[in-house]
Amino acid sequence: MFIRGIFFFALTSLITLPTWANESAIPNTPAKKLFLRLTGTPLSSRDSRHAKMMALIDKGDDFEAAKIAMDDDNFYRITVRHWASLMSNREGTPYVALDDFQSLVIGVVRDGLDARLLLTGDFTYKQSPLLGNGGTFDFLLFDQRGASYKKDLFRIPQPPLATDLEPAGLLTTQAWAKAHYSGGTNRRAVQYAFQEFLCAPIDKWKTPNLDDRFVRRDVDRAPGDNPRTYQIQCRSCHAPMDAMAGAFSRLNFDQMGNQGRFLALPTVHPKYNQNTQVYPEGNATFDDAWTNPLAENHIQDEFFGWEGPTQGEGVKAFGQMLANSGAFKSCLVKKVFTSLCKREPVSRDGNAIQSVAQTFSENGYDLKRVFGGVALLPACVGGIE
Amino acid sequence: MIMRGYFFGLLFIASWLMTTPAHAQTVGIKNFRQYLGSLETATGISSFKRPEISAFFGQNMSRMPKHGLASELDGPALMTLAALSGLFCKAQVEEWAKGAGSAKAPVEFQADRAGGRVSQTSQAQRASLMSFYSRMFLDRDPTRLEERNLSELAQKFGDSSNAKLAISFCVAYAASLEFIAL
Repeated sequence: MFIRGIFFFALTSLITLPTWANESAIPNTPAKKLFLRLTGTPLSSRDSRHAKMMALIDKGDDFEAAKIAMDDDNFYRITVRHWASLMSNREGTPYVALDDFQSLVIGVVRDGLDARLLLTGDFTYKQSPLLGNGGTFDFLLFDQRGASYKKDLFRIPQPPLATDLEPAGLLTTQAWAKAHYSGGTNRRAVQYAFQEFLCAPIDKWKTPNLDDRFVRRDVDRAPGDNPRTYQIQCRSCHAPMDAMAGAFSRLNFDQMGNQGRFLALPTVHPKYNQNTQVYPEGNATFDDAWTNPLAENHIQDEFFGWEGPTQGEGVKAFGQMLANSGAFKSCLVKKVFTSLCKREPVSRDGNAIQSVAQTFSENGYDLKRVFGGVALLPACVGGIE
Repeated sequence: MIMRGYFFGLLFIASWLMTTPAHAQTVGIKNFRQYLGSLETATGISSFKRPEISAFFGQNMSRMPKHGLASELDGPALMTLAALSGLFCKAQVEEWAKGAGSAKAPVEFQADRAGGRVSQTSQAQRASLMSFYSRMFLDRDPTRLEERNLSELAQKFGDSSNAKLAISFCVAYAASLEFIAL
């Protein structure tokens, strides 16, 4: 009944409200705009932070003003969480509960840590014990108890995966494992790691004629009795993907209903060597070694900007390769731009993106530099002036 | 009648979005989390302390703007935002009626709690309510046009309690595009 009444009033008032918006002189100060963009919530001109931010903006110290906004709990609770949630699951939906993937991102931003640790770090964040006795990855009570995203997340070491397997930040979180190591063949982990952290969907890096010596035995070389299908279509993706999927060969997520268990094995998981009869001459996986044929063959070198080793063993080395690439920093900036500015960056934003990415890497890969830098861009919903 | 008002509303919104200079840059609106957070900030009501708000938000978040793109602001989204804002407005008035933070209340609500009815909300009380909600949500005084339009709407409600009028004015501002916009 109440909701119906509200609906009726809203319907009536919505007719006139747009007109009001045009007529009113909205005193949107640069401080309010900046605060709104970074936290998603309004800042009253009566709030003491408004005067402080205005003073800093007047002095030309815009980033210091942005830091005041980024000190607000809503920056973490709303902005960073929404940004992280989209990367945390296969569907790219923000309608997900808080998990260890999102809390790790929030923690790294909050603590001003080097963002490359997102893919190489050996730590995670858990909720304050005061919020309940849930396990390390139990965040169910976090929102229900109105916990602070700024104060109630604590950094702890990631539980060891296996004696000789080092954690790799987001790549070894429960949420990422559930999304990408569950069932299947773990190739998905390569695909999504490139998509989420390098902004490179598989269509961007599938390459015909790459050496296919790493393509596994479960891939039919003549689907529908037509070898050309494999050569023209399958090989383009499988050659690079299978060559790198070795990095995840000891990882698996056992799904049990809504729950599950993330496991690291001492040896290669059987799913890497299944369906061997499909093409027995294909590649057999014996360890977690991997190599990046895109780097080896200089495929889109300028886009990826590889720096450091492009082959190695295990998930941490793979995470290091991604995190040290030029595409990683550009990708994070692009994703923040899309999130804060409510649109995808276009070619004319290229210089601005590059400039923020440069500042980002020059300042220890502190993601606050990205959020603050992007929010201040004139190309972002008209800047703050 | 309701459907006609609904379509007129959408028509106005569409034309507003098309003609506002900011559109040249990109019109951003609040996504579902930003809208919830904004209502919490403006009203001072924490959703986690109000089960009816948490439940409504949990059940309806997917009807609200997902990323905050102008194209996500369709009819169901607007209605859901208005309904959510209504719950916050109602909760705030209830808090005042209980005496919590009533010093900040724009008009007297105790009469409602006791079951009494403030006969006809006076002109001064209406003005006070408008001014209060305009500042609360938009950080500015109401424009003359807003005063006129809201007064007209209030008259349509006829003999109304302070609480009802307060919730109505509150929703009008909270579900306005000016507040939804980013």
